[in-house]
Amino acid sequence: MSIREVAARAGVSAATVSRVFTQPDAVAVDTRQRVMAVAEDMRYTPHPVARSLARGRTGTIGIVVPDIANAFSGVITKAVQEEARREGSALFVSGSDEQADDEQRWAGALAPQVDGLLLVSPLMPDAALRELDATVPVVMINRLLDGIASVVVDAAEAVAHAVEHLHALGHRRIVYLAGPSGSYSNGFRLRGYREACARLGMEATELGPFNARFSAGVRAADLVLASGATAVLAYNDEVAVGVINRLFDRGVRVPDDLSIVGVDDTSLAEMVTPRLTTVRLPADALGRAAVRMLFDPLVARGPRTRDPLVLHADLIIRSSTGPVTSR
Amino acid sequence: MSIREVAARAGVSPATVSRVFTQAATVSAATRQRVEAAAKELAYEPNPVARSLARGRTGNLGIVVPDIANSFASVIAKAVHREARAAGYALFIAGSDRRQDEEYRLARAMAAQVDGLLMMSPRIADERFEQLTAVTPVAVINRVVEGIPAVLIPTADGMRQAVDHLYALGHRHVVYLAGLQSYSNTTRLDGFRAACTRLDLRCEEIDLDDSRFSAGVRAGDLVIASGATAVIAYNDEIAVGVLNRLAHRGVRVPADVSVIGFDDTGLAEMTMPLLTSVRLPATTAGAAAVRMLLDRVDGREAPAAAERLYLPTELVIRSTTAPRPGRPAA
Repeated sequence: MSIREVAARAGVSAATVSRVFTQPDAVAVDTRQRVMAVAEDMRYTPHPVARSLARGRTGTIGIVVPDIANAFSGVITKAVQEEARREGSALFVSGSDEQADDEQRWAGALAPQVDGLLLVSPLMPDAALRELDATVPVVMINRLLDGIASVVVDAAEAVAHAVEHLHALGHRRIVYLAGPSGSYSNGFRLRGYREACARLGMEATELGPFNARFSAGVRAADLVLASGATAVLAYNDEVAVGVINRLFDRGVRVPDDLSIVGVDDTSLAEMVTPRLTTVRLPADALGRAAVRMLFDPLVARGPRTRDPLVLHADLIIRSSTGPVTSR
Repeated sequence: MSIREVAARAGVSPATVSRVFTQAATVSAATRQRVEAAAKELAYEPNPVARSLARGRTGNLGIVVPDIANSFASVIAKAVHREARAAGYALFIAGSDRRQDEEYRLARAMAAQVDGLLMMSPRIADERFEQLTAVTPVAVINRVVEGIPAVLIPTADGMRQAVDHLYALGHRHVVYLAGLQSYSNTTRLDGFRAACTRLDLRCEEIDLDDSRFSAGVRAGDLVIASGATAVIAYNDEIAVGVLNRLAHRGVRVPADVSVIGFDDTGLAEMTMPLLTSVRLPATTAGAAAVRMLLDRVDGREAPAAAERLYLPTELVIRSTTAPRPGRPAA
């Protein structure tokens, strides 16, 4: 029994049927009653296990990541892979190159082949996410949408700790290198940065937006030097390492002349010299929790949807931050 | 006319019929002739459209890589992804964590859901490929298997360039940090041994049996203890681990020790000093492997002998190599 048949019989779209079960408040009462009556009549249950039985279990789950070459995506994917293996499932990965239409296409290609789908920081529109969730159980990582299960990291507090750390070292001019605008992750970091700056009586200076890549950090470094800041908070570790790299070329010493903080704490943070002070995001826990949520029979069963699971981040102090010196 | 009828008439399995048309070299000549005769009599044509109708074309390709978080694997996967997308296919990627049983399980799961399968540096036994090609066309990167088309990056020549470079800088005692046993490691070793013999160098091999950053950190101390003035690492990740450990130990690169990596992934440009590395044409390899695979998928090619494409490597000199301490290069 498919959602489309229920939709056709009730005279509504498949997305509406999905909403009735995942987000009943978003549907008019009479429509909801009509859909429920048809669903009952046709013995349609949007229970994930029942759904996969109807579809024939594939023993596979899928994940769509923004960039398969990104170190943070790599850590999440590995954690997901291990947890999926524990559940007896294989994992298929697809990368989107950070384009919403690509992402939709890859998610759509995976959907019929898997028992469940994880989406990392998806950029696609709400309606597309709901439609996808109507065909296969979906859990999102770092995106919130009513009615769809998700696991998110609230990095705002740890980013604020980073600002406090720099302030305690005597820094009064700190610049934030912003990541892709509109991304969920950038929003949290920006909020933590602004709140901490306001609390400590410092001006919040932002540069960017930058791509979340090494090359963007190389480019940002010269802008940072021109800004007169003594400390940098970068959107992620790759950008931070790009900054360090360019500063080395310019003869600026880290942390003697300039302090740098990244975000993610991928292996890159330990590979760079000096080792990077960074906000550690719990990528491993994030991936594992997302898989467990996907296999949780409560997800997408009936009108009761789980609340998003919120994980927190920690500031890891290493060698790229030090006391401010007069330049 | 179905493949089953052809199989019944020829007295073989449908998988064998499929192999005759997709991987002819894996079927004995006698069986092949019998199947071809049966196919002709029954006017069976495995043309791409008929085939995709019969099999239900998925519009997907798959790739199984050894380690999904490895930087070289991700450069290959990206190139494969681009080429697949350009040809109108979605790409599924799976990582085996270098476990043979897992690799085979993933390959089987994928084979059933894609129109063609790529495997990067696979470790499964040769016989396993027969079972996979019975389900879907297969091509490999960096592995030689009879009957399977392959893109190969033999690195012996890149290694020769690396050792020659160190020799010219005055180094006479060089260590090679070996990775996991694989086609890639074997060709590096071949090049290393040949160059060492030719130049009469003092050469040592340290078998790390690993290819990650942490193994390089561990190797750093072994390199110092060896007394060598230059080290060549299996890949950039190991080389960066060595750089890291040497920096902690107060050993200067390249003033005290020269370091060379392999792969030339983005990592080589992120270190300080920038890493001298042997560049592997990962992007070219990924794209070529997709085209090779699609030739099978679309039935454009059914060659008697599996195609082999060999790609060259090149030493990229940056800042981690310098004249041997206390002895300027001639």
